[in-house]
Amino acid sequence: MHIPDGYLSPQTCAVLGAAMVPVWGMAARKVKATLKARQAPLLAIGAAFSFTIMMYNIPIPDGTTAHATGGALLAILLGPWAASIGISIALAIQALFFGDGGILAFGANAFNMAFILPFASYYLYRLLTGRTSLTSGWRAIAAAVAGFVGLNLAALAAAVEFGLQPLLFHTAGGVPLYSPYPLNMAVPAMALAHLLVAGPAEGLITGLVVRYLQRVNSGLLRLYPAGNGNRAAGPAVAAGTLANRQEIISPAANSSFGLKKLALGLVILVLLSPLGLLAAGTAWGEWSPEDLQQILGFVPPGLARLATTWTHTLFPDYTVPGLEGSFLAQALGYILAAAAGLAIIFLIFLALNRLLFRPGKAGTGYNGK
Amino acid sequence: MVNKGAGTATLPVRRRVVAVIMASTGQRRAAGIFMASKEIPAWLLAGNHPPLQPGGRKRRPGFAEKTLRDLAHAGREVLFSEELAGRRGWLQYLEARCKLLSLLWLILVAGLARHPFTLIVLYLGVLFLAGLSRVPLGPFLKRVWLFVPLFTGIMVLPSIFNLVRPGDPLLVLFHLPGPLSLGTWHLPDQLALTRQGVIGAGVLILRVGVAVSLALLVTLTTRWAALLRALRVLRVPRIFVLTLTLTYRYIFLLLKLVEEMFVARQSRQVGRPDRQMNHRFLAGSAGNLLARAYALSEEVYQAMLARGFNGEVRTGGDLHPAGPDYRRAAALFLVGLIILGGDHYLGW
Repeated sequence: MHIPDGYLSPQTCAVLGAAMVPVWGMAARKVKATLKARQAPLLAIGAAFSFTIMMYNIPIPDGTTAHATGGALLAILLGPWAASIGISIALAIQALFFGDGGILAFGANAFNMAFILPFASYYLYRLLTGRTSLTSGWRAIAAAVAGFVGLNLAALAAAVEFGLQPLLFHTAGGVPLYSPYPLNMAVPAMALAHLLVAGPAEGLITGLVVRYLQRVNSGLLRLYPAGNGNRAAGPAVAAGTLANRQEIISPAANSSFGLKKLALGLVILVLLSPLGLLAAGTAWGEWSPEDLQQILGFVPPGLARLATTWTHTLFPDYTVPGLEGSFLAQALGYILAAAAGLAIIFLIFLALNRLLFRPGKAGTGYNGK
Repeated sequence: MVNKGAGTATLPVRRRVVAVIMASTGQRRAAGIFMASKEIPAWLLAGNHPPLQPGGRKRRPGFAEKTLRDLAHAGREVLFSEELAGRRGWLQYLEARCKLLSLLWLILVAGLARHPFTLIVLYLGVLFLAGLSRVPLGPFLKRVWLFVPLFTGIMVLPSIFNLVRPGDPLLVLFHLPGPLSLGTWHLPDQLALTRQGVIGAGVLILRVGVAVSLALLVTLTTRWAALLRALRVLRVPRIFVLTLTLTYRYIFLLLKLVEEMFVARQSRQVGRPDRQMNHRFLAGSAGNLLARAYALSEEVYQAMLARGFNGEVRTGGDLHPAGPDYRRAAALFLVGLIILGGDHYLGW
């Protein structure tokens, strides 16, 4: 899933990179608020751990091996924000020093593996475990499921990024400039590999490690959220090194302020999204099968089928009905579509948040006061 | 995720991983002492020769062998680039931040180029640059062109047929009696290579080749410490750069820990372990690694405090780019601009 340079257009890379900026900023804030000055070594070694875990080849049935990312594990143990930074740094080192994943595509890789993967895994894990005890066997299974689902969602995101390329960027003759497969081919191809091979590997390592830690070192399992009432005062964690936990528990982290900033960043991003329209020149506006027919002389069969079977979408082809004329109208439609997409994602997260953190108890946010 | 690290050519390098930890931080003096004592044993670095089973049957390498191979490979890669970065050459003399920015610009040009011809010109330029920087051409080519056809080539292969991407037939492979439909899936009446498909595949392979070569050039010709400092120019926040530096340093320590765990297990193991044993070992080693990493972070923090760390990050020893650096960077920028202009002129 480490996308090398050249598969995605620079425009896509720029948009996804810009999407990561508020996430990184927010993550730095959150981690700073919860971990204070110790953040640097903890993050650094978390990243080194993630990097090392990616070296693990995990045996899966039928003799092959695959490697996990450790992203789900990091998210469950250190929280999604810290995991996001740790994985980003591991990815940066891989891209810069090992040629694993592109440099331009770094933003896209981070978006898939350092944003979607840890957040999806973490919230799924929290949702599945609820208030079960730290040592219940269910937790290991939930962790495995979270790892599996998180990785597959990340792969799905990568597949969508691939699949949009031929639609957005091709020459007038229909020659795709970047990844050549449309969505209906990219998605099944990526899904197959990750459902069968990489996903089970990630799930396996996540679940097994959680089970191992339950037996051997359960303190590590309650690192995050930092300071859950009295539970934090439990047995010494990690060879008795967490002597003064008070330093970790931040008494008054103003999380709403940070969220505001995040929201602002996302709004700016949404407003900037029509940049794709500008940058891609002639390639845009060719979304409908009729236009394709006119310009290319053929309609990609997948697109034709999608266009006919999936008529009940809210915003067909990312344009809002009535807004498909001029460039400005298209841009507006694009913004609306992006905003709607984000709104749906936010609603999902909000619902999860409500489910996880017991509604009605104000302030039980990230820092678990 | 799958198939990681398969694009690795065997490279003629010295085989001392641990030296890198020291070398990367600029402590060459200490590295000399360190090098003599700790080496990866030769059998770890040797090719992929699975141990023989009693009874003479060869078995496929298991996850432990593969993991060890990957670990050794990571070390070799680092050594190779450290050695190259120390040579005298055009890019080596270019200041790190100028180099990073100008080569990043060239990667962007490669990403934006639409015409195969411009990509070929750009690639020849990259090869010229590699020659000027005394990057050995053999390993350099091998590393790019073993990786690119293997992944990109296989990935784009289906797209050259009209089954996947309809277009003008270039070469008809065989005819079918008539168009077939299996449910929603339609087969045209002939199987052919299409012009669009072949050109598209060619453009993508070239583009990936150029981009990977350029990325490789940046990292091969720059000392890692300098590269990390150069990231500051890209407005990467100080804390991220500090974290990167720390991470880079401790990666090798953790790799060493993992390697020891795996070697220890291999040397204790007789016969073929069953799956459950494997799983237990994996969980144990990963969980143990995490616990040790966590404890380590605590110790590192204490050590930082003891040395006067108060949350303020200071990076020292910054060299500033001089006149020749600017001239070289400007030349690279101009070349990129000309190539992009040429690409636009060629049209498509």
